[in-house]
Order: sequence, then structure tokens, then C-alpha cells
Amino acid sequence: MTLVVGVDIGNSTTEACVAEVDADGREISWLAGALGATSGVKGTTENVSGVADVVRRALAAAGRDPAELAVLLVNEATPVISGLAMDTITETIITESTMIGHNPRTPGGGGLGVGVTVALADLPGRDPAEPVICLVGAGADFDDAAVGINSAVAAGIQVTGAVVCADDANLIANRLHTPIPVVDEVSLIDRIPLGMLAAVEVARPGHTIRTLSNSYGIATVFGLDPDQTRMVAPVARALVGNRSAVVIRTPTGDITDRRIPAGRLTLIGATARRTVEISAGAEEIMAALRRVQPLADATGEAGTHVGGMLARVHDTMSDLTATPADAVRIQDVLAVDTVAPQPVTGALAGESALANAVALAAMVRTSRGPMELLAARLREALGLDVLIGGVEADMAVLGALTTPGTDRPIAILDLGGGSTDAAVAGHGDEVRSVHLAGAGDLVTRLIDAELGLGNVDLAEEIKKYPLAKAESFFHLRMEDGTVRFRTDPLPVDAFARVVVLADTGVHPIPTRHTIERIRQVRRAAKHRVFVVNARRALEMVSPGGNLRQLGFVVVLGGSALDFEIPDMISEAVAEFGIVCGTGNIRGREGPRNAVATGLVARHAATAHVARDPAPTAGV
Amino acid sequence: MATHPGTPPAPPPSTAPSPSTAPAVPGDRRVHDRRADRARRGRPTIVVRYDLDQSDPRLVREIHAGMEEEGVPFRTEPAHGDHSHGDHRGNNDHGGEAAALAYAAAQASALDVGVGVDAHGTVCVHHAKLPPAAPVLTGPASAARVLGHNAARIVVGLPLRPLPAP
Repeated sequence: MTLVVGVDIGNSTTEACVAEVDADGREISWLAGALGATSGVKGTTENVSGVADVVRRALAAAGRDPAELAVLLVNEATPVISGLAMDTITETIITESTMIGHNPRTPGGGGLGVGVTVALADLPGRDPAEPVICLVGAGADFDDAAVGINSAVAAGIQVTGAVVCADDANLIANRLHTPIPVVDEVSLIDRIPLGMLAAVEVARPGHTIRTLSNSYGIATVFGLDPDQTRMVAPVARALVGNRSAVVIRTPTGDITDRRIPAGRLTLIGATARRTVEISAGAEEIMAALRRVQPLADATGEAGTHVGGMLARVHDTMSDLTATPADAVRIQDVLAVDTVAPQPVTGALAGESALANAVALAAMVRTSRGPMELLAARLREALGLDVLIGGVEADMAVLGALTTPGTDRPIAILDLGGGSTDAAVAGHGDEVRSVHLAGAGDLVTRLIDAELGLGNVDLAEEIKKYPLAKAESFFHLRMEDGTVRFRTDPLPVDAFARVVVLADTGVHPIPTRHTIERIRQVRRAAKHRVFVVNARRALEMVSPGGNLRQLGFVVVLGGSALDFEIPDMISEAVAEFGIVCGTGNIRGREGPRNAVATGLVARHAATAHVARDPAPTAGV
Repeated sequence: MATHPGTPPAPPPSTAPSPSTAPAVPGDRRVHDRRADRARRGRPTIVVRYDLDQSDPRLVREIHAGMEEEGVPFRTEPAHGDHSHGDHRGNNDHGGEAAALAYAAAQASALDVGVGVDAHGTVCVHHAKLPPAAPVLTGPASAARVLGHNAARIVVGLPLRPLPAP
């Protein structure tokens, strides 16, 4: 009996599997597995410390002495690395002369007011014939503001609405003798020009605004001609769904929905090349990609967004792999349509508008130079025989076959952090595999961008764990509607917020998004990346592109541990009548450890003289 | 306030605050008169209790303004701050006294939320179901407006606003 350890160095995790193999390789007794973070970029000498750590822990779990270890097997790391880029392709610019806003939690009063903007101090002595909108600046007390407006109204001045800097709308509205709409929390009130025509609208309780969210409503209020109405259409669109709004119009006012030149993406295939406009959206890009398969490289038009995106991918890849940037070849791209909240230029209180964006994940094949060097370093560091095993996809298939209930022909779907890989093995030795761009990291980025979090760690938690709403200090309502009570009170900053139920505790999400919205963003991001990629990958590896030819599909990899991705994939392939499920390597490791297990299985099979392609897979 | 370990199931003549049951009725009444209880508590409001030695009327006005802006009813009662010392022995910072006032106010509030203001101007927001020594928020007089907002937001179930930096 010899003690062997198989080690799989992945993009984000390093996994090890310890087993004892008898002399002729017929009997394998699996002892233990372990998992740790990959140190450095996979396939480079930086991995040594991570490998040493995970091997040590696997041996400790097996209760064996490192001195007994005969051989260490590492996979020939698939030299693919993925990169991500995301950029907006539209943006809303409101020039200084038209300002819009805004949606405070507690506007006061109700109705629509139209008039010329006047500061609170300038109210006395206004011409009673001209309706006015009163601007209450920072530092003004609500009692003083109410007294000022009341006395102006008593003097016959038509005050039709008020815009307030502080959070005082209800306080002022409650003290007025004549009700008017009051919009508050306008932090940039100093930027509102005086003497300009403005409209203030506050919806009735439970309603949303009617006039200022309607292009013709704005046209009526300001007496606009058809051309001007066309220009204010984006204003109306930006205000849909608000409970209150302010629109200020100056003669040169303008708001535009400008499309930034997103540029053209050139996809260079083995035999064909195609150019596609990024602004055409993800679907067009993916259709163009299918026509040029297999992809040899991709470039973006210089001086445009896509040019910048691909240049960034090339640069990152060349840094990581220490190859010159022009030697980096993009082997696959995944384009995903997304939206990103962008600050509106000229807004009243830092509002943002949803801009369309495209996220691109790119996968790069690198030279497999450093692998031999890594093996040599491992040999020095651990003092054992290090063998570079077979191709990663072949090993994953062998590992997947240790899942109870599987048989050839088998397909694996490895959902990782950086890439989605698939491989198919029939009854022979041949394994067909593909590596596709886009996986868990892209999902995290999409969640981060679409919710406007600016916090990748939180986005990662939203991806991994279910949501809940803190409905009191003591109970949480889960996203499925069930309620969980707690004995300790929830932290104050979680009160009434949507929270993520992470392993490390309850983490509040500091946004105004509803739980439904966050859930929908999370599920849509997973769908657009994993379901799209799973189908794409299986189509590419299945014989004749026909998914029905696949017998068993085993889902593997870190993202297969996700609480909803495997179900989404099973649902998506259900129509093809294939058995699809999450792997359970050696009947106990779940979707992890497939490659490490496969390495040991292959090692045992080669030791066995008959070279049976299907090694015994004891549990 | 004395608690009675091992009290019999019948309502004891104790004034110990027990959040899940109706507030204690003075005397030894065995029958729980819900109507009288409701009349005593009045309409649902947040209760603000301030120490009689607290002389700045603007402070209480700011707390009121925060609650009014959120549209939550409230009532205000003066109180003597010294009744609380028994509960918070050894708590040297002013928050302890404000917390005791706030906790008593929360017990008296049909909305379960109370605000306490001590003689030093420390403002504390408390919830009747939380442990007495663990108030929701405590802040200086300068944060009175935001604390008023937050007391109201606990009632209406909105995320609390961060306190201004001191």
C-alpha cells in the first residue's frame, strides 16, 4: 500500500485528497479531503505555500504522518484565467439649468404648485399677481418658515409650494393655514436659481405623482412646444414612481439621455471575423460569437468604452501571467446586459438614474510554462515525488464518476469563480472539454453594480446567503415569508433593513432597495451567467451539439454549493430529458474535490497494468 | 423596584416591568380591568419623559419635531430622574439615568417606545421589549432631532438614521 495525495490547484481554492492505493492499483481506500485558499495565481510558483498547507491539513484529517507520503499528484492546471470589465453605455445628463428631483421619505402637504422661485426672506413685498414657490434654505427653523409663509399668504401673495433643505416638510406643512405641497431634504438647494419657473408636486398618501411624471403634464405646466416636450421626456421618465418631485425650468434648460459611443467589438474566429456594436446588447454579441466559434481573439475599437474594457483585460492578464500584452489571446467572452445606478448631473440631492451597461467577462489561455517550475518547487518544499497528472477536465470526469448513481456517457459542469468549464466523456478515453468566461465573480460584480452597493464583499454575501427583513428587534422575516425569532436583540443598524443571513452573522444592506428587488437582482444575475453558460458549455461539448445525447450531467465546483444555482440549471436542462444534479464526490465530498479525487483514481489506474479506463471507485 | 423571585401565578403587587404582560396595576387587584388599563394608557403615543432639572425647552422641542416629521403621535411627561438610581448603581455616565427614564417611558407607551431626557441633556431612546440596560440609542442634546426621528421610525418600521458625528 502506498499513501498518495492528489492536489487540485484552482482559481480560488486548492483541494487535496489523500488515499491509499495497493500495489497493483486495484484497491483505493479514500482517507480524507481538505480545502484551502489558492495562494497567488493558479499554475505559478506562488501556489507552493497554499498546496503545502492543504496537504498538511488533509494528512492531519486522515491521521497520517507526512513522512509516509509516497507521491504528490498535481493536475496540469488548465491555463485559463478570466477577467471582467463593465461599463455604462448610456448616461443621463441634466444640464445645470433644468433640475429635477426628488424622493424624500416624508414630503409634506399635497397637490401641485407652480410658480417662480423666491427665497423665504424675499417673500414679503412680492407682487401678489405672480404665484411663487418658496425656497427654505439650510439652517432656517421650521417655525420661522411656517410663520413667513403664513404671513405672506395673509398679505395676498400666492405661495403655491415650498422646497426645503432640511427634513422639515411635514413640520412646515402642519403649521400652514393654507395647505401647499412641500418637498424637503433638497440638499443642494443653493444651486436652485431664483426667479425661475418651477413646479412642486406631492402625491396624496399611497399615490405617486401624476403631473410631473407625465411629459405632457410638464409641457402643460411650463407651456412647452413639441420640441421642448421631447427634451423633457427623460425628466418625466426619471420621476415615474416618485411620491414627490421638483422640476425647475430655465429658458436654456435641457436634459439629455446621451449614448456614450460604446464602440465596436471585433471577434476573430479561426475562420471568420465579425464586428458587433456593444450598444446592440448582450444578445447580439453572443449571437456574433456563436458565428465565429472557435474564438481566437477579441479586440475593441480604440478610444471607445469597449476598447478600454478589453485593454484592461489584456493588461490584467499580462500582469498576472507575465506575458507581453500582445501575446494574450482572448478565447471566450460572455456579455451580459446590466444596469448601473449613475449619479445624475444637475440633480437636486445626489439622485442617481439607472444607466444601461454591458458587463464582459473574458477568458484567456496562457502558456503552460510555469507548471514544471511549480512541480520542482513543490518537490523542494515538501521533499517528495511530485507528478504532474493528466488534463484537468479528464481528472474532473474521473472524480465525478465517484458520485453514486453516475455512469458513462457523463458530462461535468464545473462552476467556478472565474470560469465555467464543461467536459464530456463517452465510453472511451476521449474527453472533450471547453472553458467559458463568466462565473461566480461576474455574478458578484453584477449584484454589486445593479444595487449600487460599491462593496464587493457585501455583494458576495448577497450572492451566497438568503435575505431577510428585520421586522422588529426580535424577529426576521425570511425571503420565503417564514419568520424566525431571536433571543438576542438585533443590532440597531439592522432594524427595519434588509439583511443577509451570513454564516458570520446578520449583515444589514445599507440601501433603500426592497427585499424583492434585491432577490430579483440576485437571481437574475445568477441566471444570466450560470444558466446561459451551462447551456452554452453543454451545447459545445455534447456530441453533435445535441444535449439529449448526454446521459448524466454532474454539476461541480464552488458555485455548485450555492443555494439556488444547481436548481436553476436542473430546471434549464430538464426539457432535454437528462439526469442532472449536484455531484457528491466519493459519496461524501459534495461538488468539491473532483479533480483531486480524479488524480488519485488515474494514478491507481496507471499503476494497474491492465490500464482499465474506468478505475474502481470505492468509497 | 423590587422583583420577587418565585412569585405565584396570580398578579403580584409588584411594579417590576414585565414586557409581555399588561402593566402592573397599583394595589392588589386580582381582576384585570382592561378598559381601565386602556384609559390609563390613553391613545397610542410615544412617551417622552424628561427630568425636571432639564431646563432647555429647545431640546424637547427638537425631539418633538423629529417625531412630528415622521407623523407619529407622542406625549410628554416631566419626571424626577432620581427614582432610577436603584436600577443603575455603578453606572457613572449620564446615559444610565436617561436610559432609566426612557425605559419607564417605553413601559408607559402603548407603542412600546419611550424617550428619556436626563438633567444633563442626554437623550435616550428605548423599546419596551429590550433589556432595561440595553437602550436602542443614546446621544447628546445635539442629536435630539435625529433621536426623535429614530424613536418614530422604530414605531413605523423604517431604518434608523445615523446619529450626527459629535
